[in-house]
Amino acid sequence: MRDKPFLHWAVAGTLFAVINLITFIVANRPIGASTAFPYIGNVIFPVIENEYWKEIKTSGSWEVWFLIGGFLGAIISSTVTKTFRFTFTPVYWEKNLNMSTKSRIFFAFLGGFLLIFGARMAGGCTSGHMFSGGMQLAVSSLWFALFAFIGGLVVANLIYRRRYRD
Amino acid sequence: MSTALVAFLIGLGFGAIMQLAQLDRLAKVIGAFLLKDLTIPKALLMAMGVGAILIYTAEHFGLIHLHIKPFYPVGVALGGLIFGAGMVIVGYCPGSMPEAVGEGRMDALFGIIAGIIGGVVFTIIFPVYESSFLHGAVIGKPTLSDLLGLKGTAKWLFSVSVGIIFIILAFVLDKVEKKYLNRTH
Repeated sequence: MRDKPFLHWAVAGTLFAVINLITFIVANRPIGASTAFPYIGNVIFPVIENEYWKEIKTSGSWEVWFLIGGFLGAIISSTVTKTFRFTFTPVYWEKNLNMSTKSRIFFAFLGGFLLIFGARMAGGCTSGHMFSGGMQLAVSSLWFALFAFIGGLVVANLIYRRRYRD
Repeated sequence: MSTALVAFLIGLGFGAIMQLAQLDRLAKVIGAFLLKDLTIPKALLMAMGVGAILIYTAEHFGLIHLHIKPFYPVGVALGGLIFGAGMVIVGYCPGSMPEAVGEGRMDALFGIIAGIIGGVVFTIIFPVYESSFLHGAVIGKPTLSDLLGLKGTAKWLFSVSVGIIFIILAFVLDKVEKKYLNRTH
């Protein structure tokens, strides 16, 4: 299953840059996503009396709306292009990585936890650090991208390399 | 327009682009770290390159302000390592999980739920973390041009040049990928 994307990577990258510039102009902030997760967590569990809430409440609510938009945007574009596919395990997981269906849920859970925990430790994720911070040539964001890449390479080699087949 | 509506509309465009370019797919994330499919690194470099040109030009002419994140080398590096490990295990990014669910990949929903739990745990740990050696000292909010002490036109031209280098690198990666990595497409 090697379906070609509807948007070329260079076009998508350029459009992301334009969208980020628009966000700077109209919202006076960069694009970001990871703060939405502790924000939702704090809304669901308001019992936590904490110092973190005041740091994330403004960004967090913006990012929640941003991600709701992203979710709907993907529903619309996948419906229009007929690429919507309801699955619990991507084909790639079983065919190319030779992993079991059951393990997918466990990995998704473990990975999702580490993903947000790590992003909050560093103060950003792919959107806020790599894309928005990277295009501003922020030292912090380029430093983050370097270590995220190292972490990903190491773990990909430990878990998937032996199992991988084309 | 309300702030929420603006965020929602920007997200709408962002999500559609991501889905149409397949950047929200597990295969693309894991493929990138196995050095088999460089779609995401290429798109990232392209966005950084074009973005640097646009953002620094807009900033030079006073249209926008930069929003630079604080640089605390220890915490950012540790967070980056954990984040990268998490990304390869879950197969998505924080900003791509909602899109993945939107196109029917329900495994990403478990990632979202776990991410919210991760956010809660981090909230609890935050006061301890922030003052610990794992976070470490904050060394301001530098950009590459700050490191070189550039200002005004020199800063603008330097940043645009770095942007152009990023774009060239994206196309170099594309050549490398086509030549050596995956002869199947």
